[in-house]
Amino acid sequence: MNKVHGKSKNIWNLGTIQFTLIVFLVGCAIYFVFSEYAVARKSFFLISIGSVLYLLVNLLKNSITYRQTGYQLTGNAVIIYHGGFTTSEFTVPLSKVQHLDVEQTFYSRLYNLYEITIYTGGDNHTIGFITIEEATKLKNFIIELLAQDGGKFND
Amino acid sequence: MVVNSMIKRRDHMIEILYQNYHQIKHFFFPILAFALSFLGANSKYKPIIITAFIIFCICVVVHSILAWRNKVFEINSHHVKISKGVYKKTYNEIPLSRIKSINTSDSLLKRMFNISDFHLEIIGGDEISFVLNNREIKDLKKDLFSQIPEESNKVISQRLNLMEYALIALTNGKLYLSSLSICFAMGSFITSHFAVQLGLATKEQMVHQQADERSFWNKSNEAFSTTHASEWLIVLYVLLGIFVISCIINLIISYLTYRNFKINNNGKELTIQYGIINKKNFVIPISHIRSIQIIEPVLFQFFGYAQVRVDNIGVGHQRTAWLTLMPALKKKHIQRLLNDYLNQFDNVSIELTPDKRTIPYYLITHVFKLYRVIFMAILFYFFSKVALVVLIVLMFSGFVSWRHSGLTFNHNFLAYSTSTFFKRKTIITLKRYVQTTGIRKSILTRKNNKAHYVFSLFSESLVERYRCSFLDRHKANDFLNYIVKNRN
Repeated sequence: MNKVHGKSKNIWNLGTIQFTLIVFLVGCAIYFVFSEYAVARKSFFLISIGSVLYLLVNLLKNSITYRQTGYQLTGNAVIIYHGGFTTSEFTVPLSKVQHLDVEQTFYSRLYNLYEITIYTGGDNHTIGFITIEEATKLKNFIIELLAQDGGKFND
Repeated sequence: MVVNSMIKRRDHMIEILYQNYHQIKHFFFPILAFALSFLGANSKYKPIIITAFIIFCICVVVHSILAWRNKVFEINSHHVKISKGVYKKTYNEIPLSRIKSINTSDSLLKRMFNISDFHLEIIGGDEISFVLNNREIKDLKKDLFSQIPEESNKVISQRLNLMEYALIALTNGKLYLSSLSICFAMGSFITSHFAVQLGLATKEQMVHQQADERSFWNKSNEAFSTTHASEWLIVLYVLLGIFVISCIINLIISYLTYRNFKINNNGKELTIQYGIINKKNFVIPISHIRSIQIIEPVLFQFFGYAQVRVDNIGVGHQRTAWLTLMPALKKKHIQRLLNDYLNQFDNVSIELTPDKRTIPYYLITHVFKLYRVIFMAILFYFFSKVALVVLIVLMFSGFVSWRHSGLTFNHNFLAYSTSTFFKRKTIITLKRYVQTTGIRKSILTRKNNKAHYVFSLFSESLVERYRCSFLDRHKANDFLNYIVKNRN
């Protein structure tokens, strides 16, 4: 299995922190605007506790996810592994690939990393985050196979 | 393919009338009725509401004339070209090879003028519709799907019996809502016009009622607060009566909808026709059929019946995303139906099912979904007894889900069975339409040597993914290798 880049953890963590901050700020706004209502004060308390729990659980989850997330290229399929508290393994036959997206998110730009999304006719799978060299290699490999065999190398 | 339709044309003129009637009946009239009933029929705002209604109606008429005038289409041997729009003009050119199905429908009004709606469904989820006379439609059908014989010998009429009509009527929620609204409309008409003759009110009471300017909301509130405990029994009888009458209306609507149910397979296309007042006619190339669905609502399960549907290739949200192949049929006859009309499919049995040890997981996972937990917490806080009943129902639904879950995959098909609120659904898909397969393991499954089997199917909805939970892990590798030969 080719693992995703080690800095992926940082990118996921930054995403988690951003979400937690947004929720916490919404809670603060509710508290300051409606502070005379007991419901608003209780909501703020619950949102704060929830945000801290969410942050801790996700920081832990991100480090577990990193250990089990990756992909493997075979002659006729991409096997995608995704970790976390729940692990998954998907077989994406190359003959079913419709198109690919190579993207950089706001945080992945800080580390110059990319994610690649593989679209089939029924769902899509994202591999991230990987270096530009790895993403280009993966993209070219899939596109060349599709072009060569017209998607008929399977079955 | 020779198409003799290279002249530019418009929808039949009657479409202007029909569009106006449709818009006013289904959109403006319900809003007007709601506004008047909410504010009171004798409200001081009544003239304003009626004036606004008339202005809207005039706008609708002008808009429909412009829309009709601007919609021009042309069908040649390669393309369907269409331009339309009132405020924004659009021009489309669709290759004939992208047409995945054609279907026609008409109504009593349209039948009087010998015209029908002609719908072309495009691969990618779009649909274009024309209103043409029946002669033109017949010619176009022959040109577009040339293999359709004009008079087929293999058209078989399926006669449904009373039991089957009753099952359809009692399990169709949308149909039941329309029956209920008809029932209320009839009840309202009778009580407002014949209450004196039926002895429900005196003349004085009727005069008083007509002069009452209070809104429906205020009247209902007062009625609820002044009704005594002993009178609730009468209310219950009235509700029961409404239910029975709605069921009868539902039965009549089902009869009119599914009467003359005909299926024909000419080897290349499947044609399904039904209806007395609104006649429906669907044509799908057999090569575009992705899967079949066997649907068993609770009542169907009791009597050993099922409904069979056909999933069109690239299932989207269009009208022919699925088509009813048979609205009600004894389960034991499904295989015969498939042999007769869709012999590329088999009613395969489900082999991989969750074992008894997984029942608690099904019960837990059925209840512990975020929105359900929040809903149940609120319900427990306010109505603890009701919440307890809801909790038991949810858990029972989880148990039924366990009972009906399962998966089979072989060289030709992937069959998946599930249940949503007691309704069992089995999808049998041709293997070539399976896009990806996957295995998920959670903390719960790892301990018991189980796994969730996940797969996606070719769909226009971008994502169409299914999951069969807590199955034995021994078939996991076969499943991951299912659509690729030796993926390693």
